Amino acid sequence: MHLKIFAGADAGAVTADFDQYRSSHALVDQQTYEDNEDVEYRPGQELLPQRPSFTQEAPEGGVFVIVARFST
Amino acid sequence: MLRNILAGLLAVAALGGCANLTSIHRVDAIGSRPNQAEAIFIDAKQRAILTSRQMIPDPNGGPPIDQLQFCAEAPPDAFVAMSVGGSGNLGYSGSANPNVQAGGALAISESGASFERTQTVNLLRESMYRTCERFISGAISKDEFIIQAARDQRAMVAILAIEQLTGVMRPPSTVITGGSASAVNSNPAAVLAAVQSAADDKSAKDAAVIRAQQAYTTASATVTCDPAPSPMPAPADPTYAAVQACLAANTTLQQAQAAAATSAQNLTWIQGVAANQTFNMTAGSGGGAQISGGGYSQQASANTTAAVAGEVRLIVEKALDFPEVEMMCMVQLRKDKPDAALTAMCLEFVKASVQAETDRLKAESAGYRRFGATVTSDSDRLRAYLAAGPDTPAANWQALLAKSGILQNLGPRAQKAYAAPTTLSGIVSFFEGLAADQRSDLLGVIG
Repeated sequence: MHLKIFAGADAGAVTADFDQYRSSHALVDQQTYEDNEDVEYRPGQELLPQRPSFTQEAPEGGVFVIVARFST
Repeated sequence: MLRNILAGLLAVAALGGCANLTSIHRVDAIGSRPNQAEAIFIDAKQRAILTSRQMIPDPNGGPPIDQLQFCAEAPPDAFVAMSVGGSGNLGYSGSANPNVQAGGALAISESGASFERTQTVNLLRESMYRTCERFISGAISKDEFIIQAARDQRAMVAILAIEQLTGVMRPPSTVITGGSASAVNSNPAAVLAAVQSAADDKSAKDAAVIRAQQAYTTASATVTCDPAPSPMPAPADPTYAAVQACLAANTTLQQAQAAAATSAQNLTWIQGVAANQTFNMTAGSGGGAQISGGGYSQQASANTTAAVAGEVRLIVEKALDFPEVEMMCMVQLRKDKPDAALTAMCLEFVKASVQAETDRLKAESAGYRRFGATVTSDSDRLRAYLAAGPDTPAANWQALLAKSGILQNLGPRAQKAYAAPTTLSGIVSFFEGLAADQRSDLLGVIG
């Protein structure tokens, strides 16, 4: 069990790679997953990545953070 | 008798090969319930491995899982050399002499030495193990364990840095070992006496053979030593007595030769046994060896002390600046069933941390851009180069000259001129007086 934080800023692309953690869950920032089709909703903010990896562009002047929790 | 001797020697040999005489491998139960917990002691020389079974909740909602937990104590910094020697009852049985015995003895010598542990090593060994102990005892939770491990790591880096920095100020220390252990020696005098006795016995037997041979030669000079001569002389015949005397002399000679052969065999055997013995095993318990534990004998200068103190203060400040909130959030976010409100706060905290770090890097980047904008001339480039880094401008200048190889083509007078300026302004002024190609060579090294 460990955490991995993916972060980007100022329109930078953030790529979260789950390829080697296919069976584990990812906990994603609530404010950013609402319109994200790359994750499946789970109760209690627990999400499952739909793809081995997905890329999100950070907002201009802001940051984009993905906090992933891997069980393996 | 020979069997007894061999048995004694074999027993000693077996003892010599028995490492359990001085080593440890025990398993002790801890707690009242059977198989609840164990402490395993193994050698090197001794360390403890604590084990405990805990019923932990199944994250998938199943029955509790029986999990084995353990803490392995760091082994002591000791090495032990053990030697075992000895002899059993040593002796032999001669044909006429009483048994010759050499006293048996067993000698076990165990010597050991320890070397100095640095504070970092001590911290590493102790803190990790104590944290494990607290966890296995239920004094801290898994969350606290993770945070404490992070604290330990920070403290370790800090102490290692401080230890290396302050080593120059540390007086020499000495590690005193316990010296060699005492041992019981075997009895070389008795073995030597046994060899001497066997040799004397053989000499006596050889002399007896010579005497018997002479007697037989005399007795057989006039008659034939035939136990059944034909015709058999009458008992009153003088020849009869001579034949009987010759037969008796022959019998005595054969007995003496057999005794001498046995004696020679015994002497050979005991000499072989004595040659394989190791004597003088007494090691004593006198003064221990002294091993230097490091450090410096010269007093550090005041400038060195002040510089070291300043760096140590920075390290301590960094070490004490432990991100407790960040660590708490890391623990919270990695939980299987996190608290929803706390998780939301921690996600905000992570985003804020990323934002703060982004802002810091932006500010740093802007500073570099401003600095780059001010560097326009060759002199500015050189000035920036000489002022950068921990070394003085003069040291950087000398390094630059060495790196460029520009001095190799110059005479002593010109080399002296290059080395003359020692201040930043003096060096830049000298640089501005150089020819364009020379300035270009130097700036080419700066890049």
